Amino acid sequence: MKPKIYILIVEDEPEVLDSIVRDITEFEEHFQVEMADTAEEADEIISEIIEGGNLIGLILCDHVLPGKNGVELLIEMQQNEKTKPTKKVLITGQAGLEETVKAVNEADLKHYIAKPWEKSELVNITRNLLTDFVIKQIKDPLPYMQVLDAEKIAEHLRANRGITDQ
Amino acid sequence: MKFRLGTQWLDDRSSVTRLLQRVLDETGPTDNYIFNLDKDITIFHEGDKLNNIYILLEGTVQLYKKKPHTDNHFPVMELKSGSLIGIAAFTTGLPSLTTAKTMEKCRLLRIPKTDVDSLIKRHPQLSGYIDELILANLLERFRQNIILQMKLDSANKQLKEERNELKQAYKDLQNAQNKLVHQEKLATLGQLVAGFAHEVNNPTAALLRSTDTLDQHLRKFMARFNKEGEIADGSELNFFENGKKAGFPDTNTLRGRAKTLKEEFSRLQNSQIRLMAQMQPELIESLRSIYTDNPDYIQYYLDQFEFGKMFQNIESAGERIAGLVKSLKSYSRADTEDKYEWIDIREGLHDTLQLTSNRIKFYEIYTDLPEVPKIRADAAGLNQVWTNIILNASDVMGKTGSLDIRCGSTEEEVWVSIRDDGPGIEEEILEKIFEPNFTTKITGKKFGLGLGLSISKEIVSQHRGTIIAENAAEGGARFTVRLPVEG
Repeated sequence: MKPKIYILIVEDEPEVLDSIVRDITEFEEHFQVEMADTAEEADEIISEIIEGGNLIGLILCDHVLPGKNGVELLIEMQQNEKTKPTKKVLITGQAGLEETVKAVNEADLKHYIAKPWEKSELVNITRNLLTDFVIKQIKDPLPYMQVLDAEKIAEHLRANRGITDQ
Repeated sequence: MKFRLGTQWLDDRSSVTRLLQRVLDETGPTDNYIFNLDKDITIFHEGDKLNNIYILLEGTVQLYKKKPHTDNHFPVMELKSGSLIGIAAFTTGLPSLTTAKTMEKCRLLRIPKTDVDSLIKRHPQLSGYIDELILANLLERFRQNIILQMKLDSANKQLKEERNELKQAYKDLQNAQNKLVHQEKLATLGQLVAGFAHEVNNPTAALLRSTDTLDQHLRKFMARFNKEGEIADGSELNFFENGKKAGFPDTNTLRGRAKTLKEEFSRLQNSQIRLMAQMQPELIESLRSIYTDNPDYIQYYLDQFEFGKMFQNIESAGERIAGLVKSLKSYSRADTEDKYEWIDIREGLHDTLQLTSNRIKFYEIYTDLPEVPKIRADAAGLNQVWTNIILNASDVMGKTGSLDIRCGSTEEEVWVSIRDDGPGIEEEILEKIFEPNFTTKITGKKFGLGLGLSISKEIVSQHRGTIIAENAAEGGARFTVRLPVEG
């Protein structure tokens, strides 16, 4: 069976969590969306997804969380071979410069979204990062063309064919 | 050497000079040697080579020393009758170390160096007298030297004390200035906050009012749609209402529910299932029949539910903003004319907790705040005190911890105590924490001026109250503020 690709959202305020999910709902046809309100719960979900043989394509993570904070979670994911390729995004109102720098350096942070965000911004970032993920990690990204950056995927497919043709 | 004259002349050298004069008088005219000088006459200058020995018979002579690199002279020594003047230069032959000047009319014996030997030859007894005179002068100067040393020592000591006082005064001044700057910043901030609160209130009110109107219009719209639409039967309003009331189950619960629902409603999309997971059981029940009869209509009902939820989100967000703004305004008190007013201290505590919420978000907070008499106080000032204590506690405890906040009153006073469950305060520094510029925090962090508690203490003192810090028996640090009821 083809592995499923997950989008994981970690946010402790239910209203905000709700809004993020609503904003990226257009990706749900092709990606599984999972939510967690603490980093610890996110850990459990991550283990479940990995054990089920599936992939986490993208994590949108708040920084200020009860218990372990967002940056710590992202760094741990970066250190785990299974979740290293996951595209990591901080979506937060108040991570200081120091922590953000840490996330960039140690967790390969792909994007920092400041609250309040614009829907189009969130959707574009999600689309770009998932496209990159799919191109790198999935053998046949063709089915994702419809919802992701079709041009980029097509280009990738052409280039790949070029290589295999030779 | 034997003192022929005994030692009494050490104190009264005029007898020696009288003797000297007599000897000289007896042996011939002394006019060559004795001469009179008026006041303020310089006998010799510093640096002069002296060819005479001077013996002061009457009057006072002052020795001056030139200060290096200036033209100023300062007095070194006062010589009375019976003194040898220029003794050092005379005996060593080196240039004079001082300038000698008469202070009043003086009578002097001036004997040229060349004459001394012949004089002594003529009057052998003179030799003894001169020796004794030299010795007496040296002794006198030695005594002066000791006195000077002692004076120097005490002057040094005084200088040191004065320097320390100056240092302390400078430090105090700096503290006072820091405090002023800090207070000024807060005052400016207070004004900004008041303006900001006012400005935010308008859009917030607009937001909430619009939602209200939108709610009514949506209902009307739906009622009309019901008449014309094919699926509506009035039950969708139920979904809308319930959407507004739906709470927020935690993500774990939601996941569990979604799993069960997915099994039952297998044809629905994940986004639909997720919305259903937030619904009350009776809504699920009505969806069940729709799912079997007209599964295509499900989305319509889900939309109604989501409408309601969005209204709820907007309303609760708007109310949160309004609540924060209200706290901000009452916290800063920038809109009140009189600094001192009758206040219920509990309101300030609530405002402070509300406004520091991003720092204490994950704390367990126990409050025991029974009614206490109102006191006349500077509300904004006291809020600053609570804020300092709470933010200090938060700095110490980090992200998780607990705060125990109580108040109470007696006939004379109202008290507030705030206890954290951090590591407490080391005994050695317990006494110092209210001192200005005392901080345990690494500089460069957000709150690390070391002024918080000293300003707090000052504010409390202005209310004629007290603030104490202690380590609580149950653990953590406890700050207690007592304020007199009769402000």
